[in-house]
Amino acid sequence: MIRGALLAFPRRFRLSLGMDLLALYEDFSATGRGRSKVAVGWDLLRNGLAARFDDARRTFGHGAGSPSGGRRPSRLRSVLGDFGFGLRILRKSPVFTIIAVGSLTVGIGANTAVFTVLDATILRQLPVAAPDELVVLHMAGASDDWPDISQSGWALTNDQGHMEGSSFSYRMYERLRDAESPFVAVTAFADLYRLNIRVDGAAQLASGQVAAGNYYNLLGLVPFRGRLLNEADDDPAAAPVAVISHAYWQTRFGGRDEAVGSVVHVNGAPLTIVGVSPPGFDGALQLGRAPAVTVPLAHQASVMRDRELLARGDYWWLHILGRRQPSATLEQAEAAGALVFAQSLEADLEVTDSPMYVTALPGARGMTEARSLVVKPLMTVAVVVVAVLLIACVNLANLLVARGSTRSREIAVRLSLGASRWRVTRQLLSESLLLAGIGAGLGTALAIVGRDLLLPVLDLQGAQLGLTLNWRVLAFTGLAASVTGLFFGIVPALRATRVDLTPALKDEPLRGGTSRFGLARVLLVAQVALSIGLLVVAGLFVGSLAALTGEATGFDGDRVLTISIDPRSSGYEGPELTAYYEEALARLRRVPGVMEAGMASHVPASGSMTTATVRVEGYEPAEGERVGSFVNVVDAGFFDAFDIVARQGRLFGPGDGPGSTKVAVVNRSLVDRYLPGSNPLGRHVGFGRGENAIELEIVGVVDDIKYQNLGDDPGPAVHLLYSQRTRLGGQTLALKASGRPEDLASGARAAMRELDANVPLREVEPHREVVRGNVAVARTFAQLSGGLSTVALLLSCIGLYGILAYSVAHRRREIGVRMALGARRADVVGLVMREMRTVAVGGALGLLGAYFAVRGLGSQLYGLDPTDPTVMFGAAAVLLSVAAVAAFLPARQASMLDPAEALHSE
Amino acid sequence: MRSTETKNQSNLKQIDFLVLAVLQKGSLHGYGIVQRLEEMTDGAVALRPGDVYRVLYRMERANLLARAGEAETSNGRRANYAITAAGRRLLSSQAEILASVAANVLATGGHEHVG
Repeated sequence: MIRGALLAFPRRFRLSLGMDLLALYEDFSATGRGRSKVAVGWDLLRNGLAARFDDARRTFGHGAGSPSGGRRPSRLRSVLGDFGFGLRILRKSPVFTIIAVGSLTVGIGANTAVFTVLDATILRQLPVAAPDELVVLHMAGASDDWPDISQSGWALTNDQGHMEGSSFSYRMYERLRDAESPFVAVTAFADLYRLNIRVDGAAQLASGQVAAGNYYNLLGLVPFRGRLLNEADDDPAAAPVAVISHAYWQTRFGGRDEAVGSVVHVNGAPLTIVGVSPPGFDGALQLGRAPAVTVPLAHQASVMRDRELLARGDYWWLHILGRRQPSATLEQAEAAGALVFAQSLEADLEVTDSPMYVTALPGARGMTEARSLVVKPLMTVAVVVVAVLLIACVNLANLLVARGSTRSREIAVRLSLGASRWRVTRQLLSESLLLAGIGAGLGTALAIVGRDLLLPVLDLQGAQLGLTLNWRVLAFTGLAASVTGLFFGIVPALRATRVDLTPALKDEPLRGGTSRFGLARVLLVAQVALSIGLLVVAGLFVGSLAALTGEATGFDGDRVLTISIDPRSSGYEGPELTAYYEEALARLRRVPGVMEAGMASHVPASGSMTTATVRVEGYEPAEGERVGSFVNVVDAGFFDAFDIVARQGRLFGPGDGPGSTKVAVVNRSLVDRYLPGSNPLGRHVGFGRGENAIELEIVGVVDDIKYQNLGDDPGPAVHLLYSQRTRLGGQTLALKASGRPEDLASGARAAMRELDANVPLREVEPHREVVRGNVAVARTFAQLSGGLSTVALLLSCIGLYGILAYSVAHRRREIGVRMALGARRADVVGLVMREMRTVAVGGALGLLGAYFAVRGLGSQLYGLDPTDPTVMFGAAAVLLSVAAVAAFLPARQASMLDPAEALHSE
Repeated sequence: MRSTETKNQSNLKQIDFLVLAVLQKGSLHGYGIVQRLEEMTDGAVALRPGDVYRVLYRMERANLLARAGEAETSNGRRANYAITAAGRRLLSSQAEILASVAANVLATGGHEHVG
C-alpha cells in the first residue's frame, strides 16, 4: 500500500529518491515514531501531489531556478493557478464551502448509488462473446388460449394484456436445435433453484441450473479450470458431471485445484466436478439468480427428484437461448421459433391453429422478466434522486450568486486592473468545478454505503448483484459533477462579472439592491417546487406503508418461529415423507418453550402460493370460466400456531386421518364467491382429473388469511390435511413460543438434527421477519423517499435562509432608515418575511406539478390515491412551516439592528 | 492579469531555509536531518518523511543540495545529502535579510501595529 501511495509522486522523484524515502519510514519506525498506514498514506499522498504541483510550477515558469521572468504564463499553469486560488478562497469561507460541498455530496452520492444499481440490474450485459447476437424466445397468448400444460418459470402480463412466458418443453428445444434456422446454435437451460449439495459429507444449500451440453460453447466461454460442458455430456449414458461457478469454487472449495475431479452429491445424485466457469460469469438466468452448480440436461432426472421431464411435451420449463447468424435478423429468429412452436403444439398437445405466438427478444442480458419488474421502482427512485441533485445544484447556484455579490469588490478590482471578463469568469468557474469535484469524491464514498440501502427496494435481498464501481459508474459520477459545476456555476459567474465598477469599488451598496436577488428568487421557486414534489412522494409512500401494515391479515404470527424444509432432497418420499413430518412435529412439540407446532406448504404472508382449478359443489361455472383457488397443505396444529379459528364448522382434528373422509377447510372468500347465501358445510370441493381426481368435504370456514402480498385481495383458498395427501412437497414448520420465538431456534435445530442431520434447514426465522419481508419494498420506499425529501427540504431551507441573510445584510441601511423613521421591530420582521411569498409561489407550482406527476405512482401505492388531498396539503403545511422558521431567523436578526449603527455602517 | 516574476531567491520557503541551515555544518541522511531540525528548533519543527523528501526533491532540482555518498546507520546504509555552493550562497544571503528583519521585529517588541 505504501508503495502504491508512492505513485502520487512524480516519476522523476520515485526514480531518484523513492527508495530513500521508504528507508526514512523504516528509520522512523525503528525509533518508535512509526505511524499507522493511513497516516503514512496521507503523508505520501499530500506531499506527492504537492511535489507534482511544484514540478508543474517549475515547468511553467514560477519556481526557483526558472529563467522565465515576464514570459506569458502558459495555459496549464494558469489553470492550475485558478484551482490553487480557488482552493484558498474556499478555505477562507468554510461555512459556504461546507454547505455547498455537503449539498453536492448528498446529490451526487444518491445519484451514483442509484446508477450503480441501475447498471447492475438493467444496463450490464452478459460477460460472453458477442452478446448482441444472442436471442431469447418468449411465447404469449391470452390466458384462455394457453394449452393444458404444466409451466414452471415466469409468466407476466405483457403490453397486449396477454400472459407471456419464457419456458418451453425439451421437445420443442430439440426440434429447434435440429431444424434449419437462422441460428448458429440454440441452447437450453433452466433454474433448479436451491439444491442440497453434499461435499465431503457436509450438506449445504446452493443454487443450480441444468444446461444443454452446448451452453458454454454457444456463449463462447473458456474454462477457468478443467473443462466446461460439451455435446458429449448430452448423452444420458455419459458419466454424470457438473461445472461449478468461480464464486462457488472460491467459497465452498477455497479455490483449491483438487476440487476439479472430486465428487459431490447434488440432491443425492453423485456428480464429478469437471471444471470451473470463468470469473464474473453468473449464468444467464433471472436477475440475482447465480447458479453455483451447472448439471447437464441429460442428468436432469437424477437431480430433480426423479421427475423425468425430457420426454414430456406438456411440461414447459426450459429457457431457449440462441445465437443468430450475424446476417440474420431478430424477425427471422422469431419466425423460426414460431414455426417450431406451432409444430410442437400440434405434435405434443394436439393443438392446431392456436392464437399463441412467439416473440424473439435480444438476449444480451439473459433472462429479463425479473429485471423488467424492478425497472419501475428503480426509475421512481432515479427521478427522486435526480430531483435531490437538482435542488442541491440550485443551492449551489444560489450560494454562488449571493457570494458573487459579496465578492463584487474583489471582482471589480481584478477587472479594473485589466483582467478580462473571461479570465475572471474562468476563475469563478474553476471554484464551482472544484466544489463539484470534491462533492463527487465524497459522493462516491457515500454511494458505496448508499447502494446497500437500495437493495430492499428491489426486493432482491438474497440476490447476488455484484454491485461494483466500474468505469461506467465513475464516468456517470464524473459527468454529473462536471455538468453540475459548469452549468450551475456559469450563470452566477457571468452575472458576478457584469458589475458596474465604480460603486462596487467604493464598496457602496449596489443600487436596486433587491433586483440582484431576482435570479435567486426564481431559483428558490424551483427549489421549493421540487421539494414539495418530493414531500408529496414521501407522504404517499409513508401513507401506503401505514395502510399496508394496518390491514387485517387473518392471522397472528408474532410469536411464531418458522423453519422451511424439503426432506425430498434427502431421499424421503411417499409414506416415509409423511412419517418424517409427523415425527418432526412430535419432537418439536417437546422442545422447551414450544406451545404449539404445526406446518403448512405456505405460511401466511410468505408471498408464495399454489393455485389450482377447483370444482365447487353447487357452483356452475360460466362457459370458459376457470374456477381457481389457492391450495395450502397443512396439519391441524397450523391453525393453532397462527391463532386462526373456525368461523363456521370446525378445524382439522385428531379424528381426521388417512383412512377417514377427506376433509377441507375453506376461507370466507371462497364461500362468498362460489357459495353465496348457502351453508357451505358438508358440500364438496374437488381437484384434479381422471385417476388423480380427489373430492373433499368442507368441514369448516375460516377468515381470509393473507398469504400473498399484504396489499393483495386474498382470493379463495382451500386448506387440505397433509396426512390425507399421497404426494407431499416441502413444508414450513411453524412453532408458537411461550416467549420470544428467536429463543426456540437452537432447541428446534437440535431436535431436527437429532431426527436426521441430512435434511438441511432452510430459513429458520421468526414469522414477523416473513411479514417484514412482505412489506420490505413499501417500507424501504417510505424510508428512502422520507429521508431524501427531508434532505431536499433542508437544502431548500438553507437556500432560503441564505438568500434572506444576504438580503438583510444588503439592506442594512434601508432597514436602519425605516427603523429611524419609526418602523417597529414587527414591521421589520414582516418586511423580511415577505420573502415567504416566493416560497408560497414555489409551493403552489410544486403542488400543481406533483398533482399531475404522481399519477404514474398509482400501481406502486396501496390504499390511497396518488392525489390524496391529505398528503398534498400535509406536504404544503410541512414545507411552509419549516420555511417560515428558516425565514424567521434572518428576519429576527434584521429587527435586532441598532438603527444608529446601521446608518453609519456604510 | 500577468504576474511579475520575482527573483527566484526570495521564493525560498522557511522550511527550505531550515534544511539548508541544518546541512551547512555537514552532510546528513534523511533521519539525521529530521533529528537535527528538531534539536535546532527545540522540537518546534517536526517533519514527516514525505515532507522531508519533498523538500529534498525540490531543492535538489533547484541545485541547492546534492546527494553525497552514503552513511552507515544501525538500520543499514542511507543516502547522505550535502549543501552545494549555490545553496551556501543563498543561505547566507537569506540569513542576512532575515537577521535584519528579525532585529527590527525584536527592537519594536514585535507587537507594534504598523499603521
